[in-house]
Amino acid sequence: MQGLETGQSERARLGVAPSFDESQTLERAAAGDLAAFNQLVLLYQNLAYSVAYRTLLDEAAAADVVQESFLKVYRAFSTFQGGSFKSWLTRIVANSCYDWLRARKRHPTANLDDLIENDEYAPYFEDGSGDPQAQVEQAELRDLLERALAALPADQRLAITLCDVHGYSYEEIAEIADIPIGTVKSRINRARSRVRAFLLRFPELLPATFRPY
Amino acid sequence: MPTSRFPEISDELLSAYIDHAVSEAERRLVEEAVQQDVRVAWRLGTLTETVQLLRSLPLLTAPRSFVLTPEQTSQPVRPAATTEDASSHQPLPRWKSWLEGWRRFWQGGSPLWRGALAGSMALWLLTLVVPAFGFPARSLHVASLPAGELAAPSDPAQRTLAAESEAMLAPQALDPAPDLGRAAAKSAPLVAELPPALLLDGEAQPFPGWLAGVQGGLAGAVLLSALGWWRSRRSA
Repeated sequence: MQGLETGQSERARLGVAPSFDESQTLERAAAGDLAAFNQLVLLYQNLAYSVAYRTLLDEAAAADVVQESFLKVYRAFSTFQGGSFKSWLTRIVANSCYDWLRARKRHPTANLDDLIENDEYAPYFEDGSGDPQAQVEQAELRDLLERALAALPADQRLAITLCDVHGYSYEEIAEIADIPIGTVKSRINRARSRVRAFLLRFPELLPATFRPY
Repeated sequence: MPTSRFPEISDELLSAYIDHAVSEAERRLVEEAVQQDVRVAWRLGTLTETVQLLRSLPLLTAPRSFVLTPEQTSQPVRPAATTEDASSHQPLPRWKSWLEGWRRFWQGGSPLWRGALAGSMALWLLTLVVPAFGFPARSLHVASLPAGELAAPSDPAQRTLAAESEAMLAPQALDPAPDLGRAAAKSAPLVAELPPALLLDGEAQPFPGWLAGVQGGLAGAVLLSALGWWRSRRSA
């Protein structure tokens, strides 16, 4: 909730109208208007962070990648060919994530933060209403899903995150990940099958649909 | 385990069916299989539920704002381009644009590279300067001698020595019976043309001190650059 409030107050501070015209903002940003560009940052930073975090599974790395990606976007704005800014931004975030993963593969390091259980961090919009029991169950199921996603290879995780969590089409994912549509379908299918297999190990947390026939 | 009556129904097809990315024929096939085979129905049901659960995952909240500052963009805020701005824009003088390019290059690189480059340049300068102060030229008096003295040594012992050395250096085929005076006279202009630093008491010195310094500096530069590159790769 705090993040939402911060975003709203920052939007107000920057003079961003609640319903601003994206195409006009894009034009101003392309002309080098940093304030206009920052309106786009505020609009898409949660999406960018969400994609980066779910690909990298590392809070600090995801934040660094997102910051770096926005800088890259700002500096390369003149090369933006038009079309979907959201897809272009996501592509840059995805590429930066891959760069980070490749660098980590070359120089693996132990992150001390990984050794500490961080119970306080909950990167969600918390819903204060509803049944506490149902909320606990939902939180458990969400945690299970995040663990299932974390168990996937990075390329499958990115594909399924973009498709099922963020609602991108196959064509958009193909463009973002720079792969053929057939590969997108195959990655999404393998990822879904793996997530299902992971979930089936915890039948007590799953809806009735998962019960054997 | 009984085999499915619809072996052609793969998970990939079911996944595409969920996303409405199948042809009409494939859609009919899947729906028929679901009606007739409980295992296919279970596979489709669980896969659909998995997708629903994934779609229910919320968008994460960024832990901080990623709004860019002018400092982060490492250049002043570019005002929105207008026709007036474009018309009043004056190009920088060439020397200023070169300077600016160099400044950006210098500031944009890795600190390790910068350190390595600065170190190697310092070493190079050091190797150029130290020989000039610490090792005075040893043979200036030789080169400053008149050519005639070199051509015709007055002392008979020196004349013999010069003749021997000349005989060793000159190809015999060219002058099988060398006349000492003529040979010395021939070589005198060549010797006189040599730079002073190349002469050491009448002997040819392979490399002058300053050239060795340059070579050492270059070697140091290469070595330090390689070290900087290696360290930057390690720290990347």
